[in-house]
Amino acid sequence: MDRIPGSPPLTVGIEQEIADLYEREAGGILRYAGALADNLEMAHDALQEAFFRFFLCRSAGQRIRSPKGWLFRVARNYVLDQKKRASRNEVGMDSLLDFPGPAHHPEESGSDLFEGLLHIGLSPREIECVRLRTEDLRYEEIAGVLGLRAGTVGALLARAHGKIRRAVSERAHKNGGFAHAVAGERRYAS
Amino acid sequence: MHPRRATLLAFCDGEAGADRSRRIAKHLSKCKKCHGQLRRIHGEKEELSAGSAAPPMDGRQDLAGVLSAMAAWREDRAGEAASELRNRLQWQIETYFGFPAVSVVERPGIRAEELLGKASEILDVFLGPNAAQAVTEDVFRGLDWAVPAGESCR
Repeated sequence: MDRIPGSPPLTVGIEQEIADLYEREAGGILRYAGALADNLEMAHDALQEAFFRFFLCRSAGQRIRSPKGWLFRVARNYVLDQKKRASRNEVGMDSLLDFPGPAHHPEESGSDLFEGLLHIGLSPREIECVRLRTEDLRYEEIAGVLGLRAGTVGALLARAHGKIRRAVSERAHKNGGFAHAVAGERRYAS
Repeated sequence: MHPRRATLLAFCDGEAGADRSRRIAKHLSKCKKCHGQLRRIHGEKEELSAGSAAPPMDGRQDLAGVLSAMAAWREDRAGEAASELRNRLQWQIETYFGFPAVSVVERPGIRAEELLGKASEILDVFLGPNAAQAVTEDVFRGLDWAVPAGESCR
């Protein structure tokens, strides 16, 4: 996040900027937060929190290089924070992400596929990368959200792709295609 | 030499970088095998995207909530949250740079977002962008922006 040196706090146009950004990105952020939180109310809170913090930071004169990545990151951290508070247990981040799909609202978030990814052996990190990539985030933005390097994101996506492809070829005789095979894998496992 | 699958995947995502993309494109124009591999990756990506597509979620109420919280903030109706934000920022500045630094950045009646801007600038310079971001998130954590006095935020 950069601040333009010597510039006064920006006020004019921030509402419009936020409304435009909201129009473009809110759906994706809500889907992502919903999947991560497994709780739609928390997802809506995360969405509002991300946009309000964006407003504050812009009002403070900060220039945000990649608003989309920034918003996804804030929403993600908010959800993890809330989940950590709720669990009140000392658990690692990876276990918080163990099931990054909303088991109770699959019809609302299209989670079948991502749960399937878990069952074919993708790590939580790999699934998050795939999920963020399907929301059209660039590698650099995904890296910003997850606190990784862009090269690592590329490697995780390539590894995930390889695992999915292997699972698909193993089940090729039973399933019609890539996504079908992944979703099917989840059904076999459950 | 054929590009690796990971490289083709990055190329397909438009993430291979300009120079490498040119080299790959040149190779693809001559190599049927890699061209076929790229088409397969492209098809798989499309299928995965289609499979993961969820119905759009309605967030219009959330926008109304954000806009009303923003209006309240502008009109100084978010007094408690603003004052808590100022306190937390002062505390962070004092923790990292000592009390004299607080008196440098603060003046009576300073708005919370102005203090946030100044604090972020200092943190960014002395701690680096990643640490500054982490500190800022810590400052925001758990603050309640909800609009008081009967005005609903959500």
